[in-house]
This record gives sequence, C-alpha cells and structure tokens, in this order.
Amino acid sequence: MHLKYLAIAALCALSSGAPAAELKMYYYWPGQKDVVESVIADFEVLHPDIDVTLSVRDHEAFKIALRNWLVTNSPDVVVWGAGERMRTFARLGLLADISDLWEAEGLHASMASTASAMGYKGKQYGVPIGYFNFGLFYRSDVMEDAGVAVPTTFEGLLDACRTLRSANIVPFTIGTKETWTTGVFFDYLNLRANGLDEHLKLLSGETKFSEPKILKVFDLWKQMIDAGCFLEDHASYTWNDAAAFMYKGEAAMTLMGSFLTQGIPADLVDVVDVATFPAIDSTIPVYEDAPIESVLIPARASNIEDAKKLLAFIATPEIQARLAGAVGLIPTHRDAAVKDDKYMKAGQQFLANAKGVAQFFDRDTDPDFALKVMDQFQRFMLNPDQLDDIVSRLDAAQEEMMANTTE
Amino acid sequence: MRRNLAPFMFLLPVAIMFGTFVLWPISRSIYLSFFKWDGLGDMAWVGVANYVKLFTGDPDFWLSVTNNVRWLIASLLGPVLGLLLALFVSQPIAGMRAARSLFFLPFVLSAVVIGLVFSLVYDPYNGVLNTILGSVGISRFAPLSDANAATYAIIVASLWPTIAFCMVVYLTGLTNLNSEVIEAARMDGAGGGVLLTRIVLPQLSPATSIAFTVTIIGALRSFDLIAVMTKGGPYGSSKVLAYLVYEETITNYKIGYGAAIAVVLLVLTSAYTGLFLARSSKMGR
Amino acid sequence: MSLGLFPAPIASGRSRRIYTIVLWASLAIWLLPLLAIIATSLRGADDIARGNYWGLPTQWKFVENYLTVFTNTPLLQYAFNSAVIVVVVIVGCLTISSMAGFAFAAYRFAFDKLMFVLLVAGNFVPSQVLMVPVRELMIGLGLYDTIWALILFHMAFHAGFCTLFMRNFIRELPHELLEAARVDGASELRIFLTIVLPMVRPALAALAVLLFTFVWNDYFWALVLVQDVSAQPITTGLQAVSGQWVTAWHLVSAGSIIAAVPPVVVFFLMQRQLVQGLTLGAVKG
Repeated sequence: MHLKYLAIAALCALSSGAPAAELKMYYYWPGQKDVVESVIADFEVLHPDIDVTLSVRDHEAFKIALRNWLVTNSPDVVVWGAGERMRTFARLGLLADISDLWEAEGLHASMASTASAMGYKGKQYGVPIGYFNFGLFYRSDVMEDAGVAVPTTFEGLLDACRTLRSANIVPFTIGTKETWTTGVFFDYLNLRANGLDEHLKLLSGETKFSEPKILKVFDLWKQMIDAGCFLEDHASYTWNDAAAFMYKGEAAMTLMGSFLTQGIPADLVDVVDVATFPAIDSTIPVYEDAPIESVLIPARASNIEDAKKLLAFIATPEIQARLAGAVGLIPTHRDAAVKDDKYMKAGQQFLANAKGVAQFFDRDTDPDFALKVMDQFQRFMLNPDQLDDIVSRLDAAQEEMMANTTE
Repeated sequence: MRRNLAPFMFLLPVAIMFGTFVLWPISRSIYLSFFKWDGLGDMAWVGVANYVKLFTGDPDFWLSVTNNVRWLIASLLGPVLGLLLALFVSQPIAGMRAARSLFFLPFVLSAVVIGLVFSLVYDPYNGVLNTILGSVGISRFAPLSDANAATYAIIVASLWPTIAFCMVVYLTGLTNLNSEVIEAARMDGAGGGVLLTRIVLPQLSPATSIAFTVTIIGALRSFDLIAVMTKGGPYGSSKVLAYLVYEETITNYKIGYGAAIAVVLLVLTSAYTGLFLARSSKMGR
Repeated sequence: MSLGLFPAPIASGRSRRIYTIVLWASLAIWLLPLLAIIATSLRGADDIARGNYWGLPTQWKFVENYLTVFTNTPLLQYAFNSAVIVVVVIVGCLTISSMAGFAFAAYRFAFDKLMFVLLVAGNFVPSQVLMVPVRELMIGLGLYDTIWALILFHMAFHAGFCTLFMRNFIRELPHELLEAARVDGASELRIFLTIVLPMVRPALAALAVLLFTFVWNDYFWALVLVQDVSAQPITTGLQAVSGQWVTAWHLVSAGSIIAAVPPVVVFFLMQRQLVQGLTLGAVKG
C-alpha cells in the first residue's frame, strides 16, 4: 500500500521536472490575440521548459507605456516597429544586440531586405515579422458605375476625381482626425514625384520643405484638392470612420495600409480591390511605403537567452506566414508563404515591383517632428492657400529636429 | 494621546500623502523645467532656455494661451446662465425637485461621456446639430473640423456641466436670501429687474464668487474635453496650455519643455487662486 | 427650497400650466444630447450603417447592444476597476481628512495657518504640473500601471479639499462637548472617535458623493498612470474601446451610458448631501 504512494510521489516529482523559465511578451494587436496565443502554444510545445505570458493592449497605450517598460520592469519580448522606431531605443542602449541570432539563423540571407531596417551601427536588433503595404483601395462597382477606370497616371487621377464628383461620389475618403493619414498621401506624392532618396533626405533634414522639389509635391496635392478629390470635413473623422463611406458606396477610393483589409465587410470583399498609387514622373522608379513590424528584446529583459529562442522560432517561415497573415502583413522571410488572400497577394506584388521601400512617415523620423509636420499637412489639406506659412513652419520644425538630434 | 502631540498625529497621514503627491511634485516640475530631458537618456541643464523658447519661438504656445483666454471669456457665460436657470427653476410647482435634479445631471457625467455625446451632436452627417440645420436649410457644418470653430464647439460642450454646477450654487444662495427684505421691496412696488439687481444680486455675492472662481479656474485647467473631442486639432488649433503640457511631455518626450509650460500654467492659476483666497478671507466667514 | 421669487410667484392656474410646460420642454432640450445618446444605443448596426439615427429604429437592439458591450469588450473589467478605486479612495481619503480637519479645527499649533493655506492652494493646482513627478513616483514605488497608483494619488490630491471641508464643519461643532470630555479624562483619540466622528456624518456623506463623482469621472490621471487593461478605469477604457469600433455609434453610445450610470445613480440617491457638499464647504471659504 505505501509503496503505491511512494510510486505516485516519485512520478509527481519526475513530471514536475525543472522549474519553468519565464518569458513575458507584450504586443499591440488586440484583434489577433487568438493567433498569437496559438503561435506561443506551439512554441511552448517545442520548449516545454519555457512558460510564456502574453500581454496585449491597443497601439496608442502601448506606445506610451513602452518607454516606461524598457527602463523599469522590462518584458522579455516586445512587438514594435523597425527603422527609426527601433533605433530610438537602440541609440539609448535599451535593446539587446542579437547579431549572433541573425548569424546563427542565416537571417542575413532569408531576410536580406530588412537587415538595414533592423540594424543600427552594424549590429542587429530584433527580428522582423512582416511588412504592411499601402495601396489604393477602391470599390470596383462604384468606379464602374461612374465609368471611371483605376487611375495609373496623375492626370488620370485628377480626371477620375472630377468624373466621380460629378456623379456625386467622393473620390478619396480620408479621415485626418489622426493626422498620420495625411502622411500617406505626402509619402506617395513625394515618392512618385521625387523618389526614395529625396524623400529620405527630406526626413533627415538634408533637403528643406521650401525647396522647389518639395514645393512641387504640394502643388500636386493642391491639384488634387482643387479637383475635389478628398472627403469634406475629413478632420472630423478617424480613418475608420472615413472607411465607412467607402463601404456605404458613397466614396470610391482610399489610400490606406493593408490593415484596412481586416475591417472590410465580408459581403464587400468581392468589390474592394487594391492598386498601387499612380505614377507621376515616369522617370522615377516605383517605391512603396512598407513599414516593418518586428519583435525586439529589451536590454533589461530578465531572460534574454530564452527570448532569443522565441525570436528564432518567429523567424521560421511557417510562423512568419501565420503571424504575418493574421495581422495583415507580408512576411519578411523570403521562403514564407503569403496568405492566400487577394489583398496580400496584390501587396506582395507591389513590393516585388518596388525598387525600394520607405518605412512610412512617422516611423522614419523623430516623433515630435513627424507630429508637427503631419499637423501642417492636415492644415494644408484644409487651407491650401496658407502654403507659405505652412512651409515656413515645416522648415522651422525641421531645423528644431536637426538641432535636437545628437548624432 | 498627549494634547500637544495630538494635532500632529492627526495631521500626519494627510501631511505625508499631500506632501508626497502634491507638494513635492510641484517643486520637482519646477526643477525639471530647467533641463532638457527625454525621459530616458541624460538630463541636460539648460537654465531658462525652455522658457525663452516658449515665449519667443513657439507659435503653439501663444495659440494655446489665446485659446485659454477664449475659454476664460466664454466660460463667464456659465455663472450668468446658471443664475438664470436657478431663477427659472425657483417656482414652487409639483415635480420641481425632480426637474432641478435633471437639470443638474450633466455635472455628474465624465468628460469622456460628454465628449462622445457632443461628438455625436456635431457629426457632419448624422449629428443633431446638422440635422436641425439641415431641416431649416442651412448647409452642413462640421465644427470639429473647422480650425476657427473647434475651440468654441468644445467650450459649448463644457458649458453644459458648468451651467449645471452654477445653477446649484445659485439655488443654494437663493435659499439663504433674506425674504423679509425682498417682501418689503416688493410691497414698495419694486419690479423684477430692480428686485434682481438691487436686492437679490448683492445678497448672492458669495455664491457668485464661488461660481465665477470655480468656472474660471476650470477654464484655465481644461484638458479632458479637448483630449477626448479633438486631441488639440484640427492641426493644433484647439490646444490649450494643459493639453500642450501633455502633448509635449507624453507624445513628444520633451519632459523639461513640458514642465516649463506646466510652470507657466501654475503661475497663471496661482495668480487667480491668490486673488480668490485674499478676497474670500477679506469677506470674512 | 421653494422661492417663487421672480418676477413674482406664479399664482394663476393658467400661468402655472404654461410655466410647467415650458419647464419640461426646456428640460428636454437641455438633456437632448443625453437623450440622443440613449436613443442611439437602442439601434441596430443596420440603422447606423444606413444613417438612420433619428427616425424610428427598424430594430430594437437594446439588450443586444448592451450585452455586446459587456461581452466583447473589457468594459466590465474597467467598471470594476473604477468601482474598486472609488471605494478605497473614499474610505481612505475621508479617514485621513477627518483626522486632519479635526487637527485644524480643534487645535492651535505651530505653522497651522501656513499648512492650511498650502492644503487649500494645492486644490487649485493644475494637474499637469504634477504629471511627470507623480508618474516618476509611481514608477519608483512599483505602482505604475496598477490601480494603486490611481488610488494613492486621488487619496492624496482630494485630501486637500476634504480636509478644508471637514475643518469647516468641525469648527461649527459645540466645543464645550470636547472640553467636557477632556475634563472627564478622555484621550484625544477617544474624543475624535466617539464624539466628533458621529457628529460629522452629514459632512462625510456629502464628501463621499463628491469624491465618487470626481474619482469615477477622472480621465487625466487614468491616462497618465495606467495603460494595462487589468487596471484601467472606465473613463480611459471607454475612450480606448470607442477608438476600436468602426463607426459603431450604437455600441459607443451603449458604452457611454454604462459609464454614466453609476455617478448618476449615486447622485440621485444622495442629492441632498451632494448639494450641501458643493456649497457648504465652499461657501464657508
């Protein structure tokens, strides 16, 4: 009898094994909780000695809290943007250098295009998950009814706007209550008119807003405003509110990121298609905005070794495809399958055709500068006649940004 | 407990809490305003540079000050309309108690609820405002998209609870009126206007003082509704000092600069508070 | 509290009827924004999508909307957080404030005037000047992003006003009672607990209602000190959730009503105490 108890006790002791290592992962896709949890569950099967706790909150709250977390009780893994967003923290020594992981997993080969976005001063930080792509989403049925084709040139774009207006359709719906949506238009107008190098020079302060090349962009924008391209009162709406006009059939197009696709009503998926923004200058190659989402390890994490294992797991093609597909991203691993969804496939095509990518305005530069600039963009969209003052404000903001940048 | 020690023992908890979470932070903010700091890296001493930049090189600052002045002036409507409302609900009819409570309702709503409520009212396509304007043939108007109108639209929303508050203050004042004096004046043939201005208003001055003070200080400190309804937009046109502090500190990571703005705000409100405290202690208890 | 003052008490039946109608009509207009929100919360998504905001709803979705809000969002968690915060703050703040109020009212001691002025002045300080240091404190104490950050801060901040109020109230109590007890050999603590406290219950009730309203409706400090879902109160929680719904005005409205109900209920249950609170403590300067 008492042998049985001994045996049970022994079995219990055996199965409890070594104490589990813990990992804390924080992310900001509340809508994708299920997928993230299933990915983590699979990881835990592979690594039964690691116990991962997940914590999710919405993007804005996450952005604010992240700064505190990195300095106080740090999680082990965080989802965050690449590029300048990542570098803000790398610069301050708040991120763990994982160049060894990149070497070990061969990521320089399989994720070559993202190496620079994930790098700072020769070191690699974090593993990318996927790209958001941006595109011109449109209601093919609304356009057809109005007799308008998807524009491929700027002139065509203006014509389309005028025709749609006369049919009482809003050409472009846009919500600028959160001003980043203005950045999308500026990015594309500048990328198409001047190219990626010029765009990056502007963001770093090398080119001023008052230079003719950039003034040309504002002129193009004004032509769109004059052609009635934009939704009235756009400052009252968030991008979500504005998207509703397209779903209601009152607007034809919107220039937006692929995260839009998660909100498209099921019965409209057949009639909402996506194209790339029209060319403006045929001599300039095509560039796209493609911000990268990634996972990073804070320098003050308590369990960096196991965090690296989780990142290695996320860097595998299958997991890339799962996570990216769920969030609406195009996976960064060249062997990862893109979700079989027309928007993702189209987005992948845009990126494949692009000569280079930008990270999207407010991720490519200092946040204070970006905010001031996008505020002025919104002001321009509402009052294009105030261009002179707007440009001088933009130049001033740029100067301030440069004065503040320590290196 | 010994008599001499007693007051300190009783005072200790409040002293500790208040000292830690209110008094120390004030001095710390003043200290921080002399530095340049992003909250993560090193702190760099810059002396009064933040203040100089604020007063000479920041159009947002002056815009915010201007908006605060607009808030100040517009909020003066609060006590006035509150008094009128209090007079209006001063008739002894059945159900008046319930009516008064219902008029007071907006005061107990949070800024988030009021902000959402008024955002719906102002919605360009489906809001109450535009529905009414549309039915009398006036074209659509979106106050929250209009740089010239946004601040006023938010102020209107803020007047809703403010008037309710002033109404209650005046109602209490009205109950404390000396009814004999009023009756005497009425029998002397004094009409409504004279009665109001010569007899009643002077007796209401403590209530008036409270109504104006709370309203004005509230106008100087306004933050919640702006954060909820416009986030300072369109393009910063509805920002006020309190919101500017929040934005510079939390969104732009300029701790020292934000602290400087906060100190300016503190000076402004202290000036007014000082005036009020001096006046009320003069007026006696 | 019936006055019937201006221009004169309305006597005649007909004027009375007209007045009553005007009263309730103006009440309806006054509460129109709130009624609009309630009406919107009853509609189905189809009505909202088709822009039918003000006509008769084609579907009555009262139960569904509110149920959706509760099951699809953490709003219940947020409401629970708010409730915990409010209750703990009320108990804690009233305890330490009545002690401190007693100290100021019953004793003379060194620096008592200065300390009192600091407490009163601290009331009027704009929250933004406290923002960064309080956040630093909470991070340092390990309480950032927990409800305790909000609990401690509100307890400390509102202690100023509550102490002022309690001190004024206690001062009006007959001091002979205290003296008699002292002569009988009672300790100060005993006097406080057995004589003073029972007599200040009305003041405590008034303050409890005020604190409930202020703390439940606080938005700024919830924004600054808390981001985690498990700790967010209903104000910032409602804002966050509204941002995630795509023009789901019917759900946003339902959520707003849920956030608004507790203070409204508390208000209606304790109106008398609340009104006393707003005016008594303040009027006495």
